Amino acid sequence: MEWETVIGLETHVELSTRTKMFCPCAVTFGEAPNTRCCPGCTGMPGTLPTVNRTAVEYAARAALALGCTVTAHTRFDRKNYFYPDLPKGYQISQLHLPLGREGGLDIGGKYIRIHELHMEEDAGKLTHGEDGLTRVDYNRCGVPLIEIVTRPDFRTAEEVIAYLEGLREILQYLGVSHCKMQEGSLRCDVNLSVRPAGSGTLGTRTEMKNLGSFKAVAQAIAFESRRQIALLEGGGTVAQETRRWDEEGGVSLPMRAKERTEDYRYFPEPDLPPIRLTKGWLDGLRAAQPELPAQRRARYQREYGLGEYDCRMLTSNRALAEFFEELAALGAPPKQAANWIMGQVLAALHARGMEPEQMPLSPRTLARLIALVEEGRLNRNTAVKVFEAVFDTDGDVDAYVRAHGLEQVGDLTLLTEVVERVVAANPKSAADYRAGKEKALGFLVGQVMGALKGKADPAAVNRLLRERLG
Amino acid sequence: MGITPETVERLARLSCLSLTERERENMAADLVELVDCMKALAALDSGDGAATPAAPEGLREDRPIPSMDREELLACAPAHDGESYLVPRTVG
Amino acid sequence: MELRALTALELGTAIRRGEVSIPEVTELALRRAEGAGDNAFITLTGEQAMGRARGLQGRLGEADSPLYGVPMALKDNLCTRGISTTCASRMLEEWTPPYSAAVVEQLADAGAVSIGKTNLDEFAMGGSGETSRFGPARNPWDKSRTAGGSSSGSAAAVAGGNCWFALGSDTGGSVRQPAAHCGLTGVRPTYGSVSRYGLVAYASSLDQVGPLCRDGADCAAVLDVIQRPDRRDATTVKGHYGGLLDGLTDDARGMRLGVPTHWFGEGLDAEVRAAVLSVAEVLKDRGAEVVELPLPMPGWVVAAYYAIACAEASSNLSRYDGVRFGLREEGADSPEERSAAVRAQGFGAEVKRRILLGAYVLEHYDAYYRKALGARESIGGLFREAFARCDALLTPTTPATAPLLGESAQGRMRARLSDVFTIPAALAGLPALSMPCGFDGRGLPIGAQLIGPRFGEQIILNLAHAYQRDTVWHRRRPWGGEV
Repeated sequence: MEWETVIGLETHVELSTRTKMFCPCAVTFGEAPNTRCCPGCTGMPGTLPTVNRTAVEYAARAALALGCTVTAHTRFDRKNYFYPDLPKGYQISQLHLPLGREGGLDIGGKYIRIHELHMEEDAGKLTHGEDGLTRVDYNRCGVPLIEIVTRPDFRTAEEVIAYLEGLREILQYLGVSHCKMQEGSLRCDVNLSVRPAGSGTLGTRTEMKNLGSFKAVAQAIAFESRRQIALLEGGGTVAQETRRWDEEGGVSLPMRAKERTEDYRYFPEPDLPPIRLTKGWLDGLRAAQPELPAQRRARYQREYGLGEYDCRMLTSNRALAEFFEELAALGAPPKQAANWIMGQVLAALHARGMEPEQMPLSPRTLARLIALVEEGRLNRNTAVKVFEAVFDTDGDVDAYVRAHGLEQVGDLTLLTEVVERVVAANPKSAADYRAGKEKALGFLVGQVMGALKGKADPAAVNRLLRERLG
Repeated sequence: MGITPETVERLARLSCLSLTERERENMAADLVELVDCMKALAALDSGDGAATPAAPEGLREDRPIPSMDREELLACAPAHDGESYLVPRTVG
Repeated sequence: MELRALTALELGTAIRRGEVSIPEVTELALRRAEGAGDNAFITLTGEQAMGRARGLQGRLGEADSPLYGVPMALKDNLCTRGISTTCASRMLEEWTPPYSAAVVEQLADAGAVSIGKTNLDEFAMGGSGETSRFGPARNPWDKSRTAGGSSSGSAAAVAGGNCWFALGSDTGGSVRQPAAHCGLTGVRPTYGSVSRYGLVAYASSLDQVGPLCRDGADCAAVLDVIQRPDRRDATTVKGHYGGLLDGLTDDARGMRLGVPTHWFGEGLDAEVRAAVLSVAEVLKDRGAEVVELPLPMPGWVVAAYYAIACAEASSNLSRYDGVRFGLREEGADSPEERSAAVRAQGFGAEVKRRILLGAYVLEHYDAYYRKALGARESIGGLFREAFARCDALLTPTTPATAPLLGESAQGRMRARLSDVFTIPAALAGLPALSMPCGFDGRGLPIGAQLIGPRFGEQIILNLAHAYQRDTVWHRRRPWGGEV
């Protein structure tokens, strides 16, 4: 029988606010345990939550960018359950009146419907020791999250990855989240079921947690589809349960039977009044919304005449795209600018383990470098060396070129002289070339370049040699 | 929605309370009485407790204030190792 | 001058005039509290209080509050930094909060001197003080009787002359009912006018801190200190706070006092009925117009209250899992087991009962919880209609005077029905006070309740003040005579 996999996604995204969702503790990553905590986020008696205004704003901006209808009267609810990483015994979340509803995201021709987007707080972190104890760190507890729940619109892992990439791109563009899977600021749970191809009803689904990378998402989907199909083909049934993806073992393992919603005993959070998002406030957010990746890609094709691949690469990160636009505005030819960014700039960032947001080089410096190449005053290889030299300090390109005497030799008389000398000193190579051995020319070009310490335009040297030997 | 021993058992589990046999029996009787009293609510219209909403402008500004000294925080804890709170090992 | 018979304002005046010193009155209060034998206090903080008293005396010239130097007491569900805050529960016996409640800070800023933490029903759940881990506080008027609850210790401490005023908390009547049973004036303020920051939560949408005092003027002075918005409590609301004391008049002219006839029916003790109705006569003489009103008391009011209070309590009390504070429990195999053991030992029977009931209510959200919220809106609507026709309502505070200890446990439903007069204002978030309006044949105080519209504190305090100008009930002391 042909089977079809049906997937829905719940994505948790940490918002990049300075403070936690419901208390003014700083949000930072990698601090010593329990040093970013207060009586509030450790749930001490008598403490009360206060809503972070910026978190609401970020969540609303995400909801707008994802085409959601924003709930004018939004409200928090308590989700009650016991676990050591949850200090209050309830998570402040949203069930009845989530911030955003019914949006969607286009993933290259297919539209994935978003059911809702709601705000909530993150839980603490548990570390299981070999000594029979679990250590609890509440630094992460209370970090603002948005949870984005899709409809079961995915059929393949590729679609899921495309959605996650699109989502990440948008949220990074908005500046509302870093969306780093390795740091846990973007996490997703996969709801998956299978059914005979063409069937109109949904099968029993499982929920998979602990997916730490796009690779894990793809592997987990493949594994879980196979597992469910094998179960059904063997005459068995799929149990509705929560499963944990074991990345090392490459298998999903049952965690617990799925809770019923009633078990969470949701009710409106009595410590927080509902929030009324006025039209004026939302209009303000809409007006301040940055250009999103899809719009920007279309504009790059139109304005700069770049190909689709270049546009996609440049717009994949907002800082990178802005860097590109500044380069172009400073007069760098768009295609050259794009090549530099996708080549040297990304490589340099990668080598240093940096994000585009941390780029030390200014567009002005790179623009100057590109201009020198365009004017024929630096050859491309030398320019790359200069780039490496000035990258970390955003150094002065002209000063560096001057100090190191790197300007390209453009003097035709000097070039001709050197060519004469090299041909005279290497009669065998000259003869070889004349006998039809193209390779010999390369050797001679290298000799000329070496004599000029690489400061000549290789194309010009090539041309002069051919003329001389022709 | 009758109250049975299983109801009490389930509520105790959800509430993370271990009850003695006697407590269980007493609770069942009390719950029956209280739930009976709640029946008066059944005929009413539902509301949503319209609290006065807050405007986003009035919410807390996103400005950190120093967290509490860890020692002071952990001093309240029944079990800690100077850095973290300790609980019996959780599964998974 | 018998110091302990004075009101807080009278004592404050004597202090500022230099007639008595703050250490002197603080020591008097502490000595008296230690020897009272009424179980009013869980913790007495003698050393801190004396240190503070001496410091305040040294800065007497800077005194700018009528409560400067006045010894007072705090219900032991108000967090006090560095001082144990037990909520009369085994669960919190070991806990010392690292911060203070907003109201505690505000009173300290006003120069009041706390002498200790008062007894209460465990986590404020109860109406007699008998669910306290430390046993019930005793009624200074008759030690075999309850002081009411849940703010039993605060009421007993003030009525017994151990201090000059106290803070309590009122969820469904926990300030007003003990005030009535102990012959005090106690106010439940408008919901959202006093910060709950640092008040250990019972039911968040109902809890409100309020004063228990010897008369209405003292209450006005305390409210002037504690009523204000607090950024740490999102349910506080902006308003015109302060000035209640300065605004007091003994003139009731132009005031329409509503008497809801439904509230004086069956189940109300005859002596209580007569005493409460006599309040209307006194206020009429002071110029008020008395109007009878048909304000029904639907049977579902108590049910709605318990549904909401228990639901919120079941969630609010989930944080007591023995991980970050609370009881130490060894030898469990999993966090769940440990928490369950801690909770089984740390909570008393009444608390467990309300947690389970609350879990049940929330599990059946649509059938019970939503209905209860609807009921709450309805009761708000009924009050709005009533306040279209009058400025304040006069009702009994309790159906009867203080019961004997042990009596209220006999029939739990009966104990719950004793809240029937205090619950409606709590559900509607309205300000209400109880004041003494007579004594029954056994010499026990009777309380009359005045309910005002939202932010109508000045109205009900003026009526109380006017009433107390012409009556002496509030000046009677359990140790004899009138002052």
